[in-house]
Amino acid sequence: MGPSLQSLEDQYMLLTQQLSMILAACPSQTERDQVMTQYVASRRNYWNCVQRVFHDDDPQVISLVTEMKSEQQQITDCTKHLDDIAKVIDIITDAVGVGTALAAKVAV
Amino acid sequence: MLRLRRFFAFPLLFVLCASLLSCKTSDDARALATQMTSTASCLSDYYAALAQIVDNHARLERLQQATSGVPLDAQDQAQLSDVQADLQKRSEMAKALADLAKAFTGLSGSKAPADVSTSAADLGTALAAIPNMPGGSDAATVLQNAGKILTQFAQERDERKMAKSIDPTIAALSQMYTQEKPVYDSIDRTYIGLAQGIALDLVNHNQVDPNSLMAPALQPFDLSSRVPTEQLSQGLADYAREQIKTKAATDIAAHSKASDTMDGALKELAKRTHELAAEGRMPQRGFPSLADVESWIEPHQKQHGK
Repeated sequence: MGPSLQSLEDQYMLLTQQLSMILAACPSQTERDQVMTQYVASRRNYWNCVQRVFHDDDPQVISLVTEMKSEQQQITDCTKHLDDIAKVIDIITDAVGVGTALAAKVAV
Repeated sequence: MLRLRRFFAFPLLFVLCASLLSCKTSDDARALATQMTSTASCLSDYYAALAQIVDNHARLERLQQATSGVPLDAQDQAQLSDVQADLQKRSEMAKALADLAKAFTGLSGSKAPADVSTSAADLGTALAAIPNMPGGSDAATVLQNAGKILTQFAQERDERKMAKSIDPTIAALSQMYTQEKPVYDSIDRTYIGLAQGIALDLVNHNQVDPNSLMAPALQPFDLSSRVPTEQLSQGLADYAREQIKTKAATDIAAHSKASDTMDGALKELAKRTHELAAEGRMPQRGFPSLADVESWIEPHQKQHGK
């Protein structure tokens, strides 16, 4: 399977599984809105990829995929420390940003 | 007298052999057309079921908005509508191929060359609607103009030329499916994954009726459970979670098996079409079972009201 689609699927699904737990740890609606924004971005990135069908031989794509795997591990780790929700949101924001960059690589 | 009998025997023997040879070639073409009809019909139903999965995913996103407040706007809905439309185009294309193959099958009595002509043109139109089909635009052009040629081949009973005309289309279809198969598997996984996430949430919030969990015990006695108003017991909640995870894994595995089987069937169809086109014969009979695809499709067809 193309690593691009797999990476975006993995991120979307991981955030889906963790969403309730992260939202519950948010002290206010502001943090919840931030988490929701990133979740929706991750979802959109995934469906963009489904629509476009990636080529996975682009070296930039390979590099982004590697970066996403690292971000993915950080999301998994940070959900064990929901007491620092600001840091959790930062990590998710960075990870989804990498996903957005990956989703923007369109096969011509 | 003996010499006269031999004089008439050779032409008769030649006509008999020619007829037998013609019958053998027609048997090969008929067998291929039957395989093509069956495979393409199944593929059409498969794509329709996958389009239903995407529609289900859209409903889950709407439910997620209702239960968790996750934003959902027109852009999100349009994304899923586009993916659904792409799958429906593929379903229509496969149906057009099945119709063409059926028209070929009906040619054994040379009764319906017009059906072949119409079906070929329809298939060409359906292929043109799929932008990323390998060589799709070329195949579409060939097929849109091929009705006349195919009719001529049919009337001449030249099955080899008929197979040659459809060979590139079948090869391109098989290639497209193989390339896109990871996307199909992913669509199924994310649908099940999202459903699982929402379902587990509902269990955690005591919003699940455990009636179906009690059924194995109560059904033999025509009894049904009464839902207690208090919190689900820890044991029942754990059981519900276990059922959700087990069923999710089973459903994902079933689709993976179905898509593998469909991939194999299309490759086999492409191989046999090429055999008939290149060598003028197709000695193999019997083709891969599509039971795994059909059993995955069935519940989604029911949902679609088919």
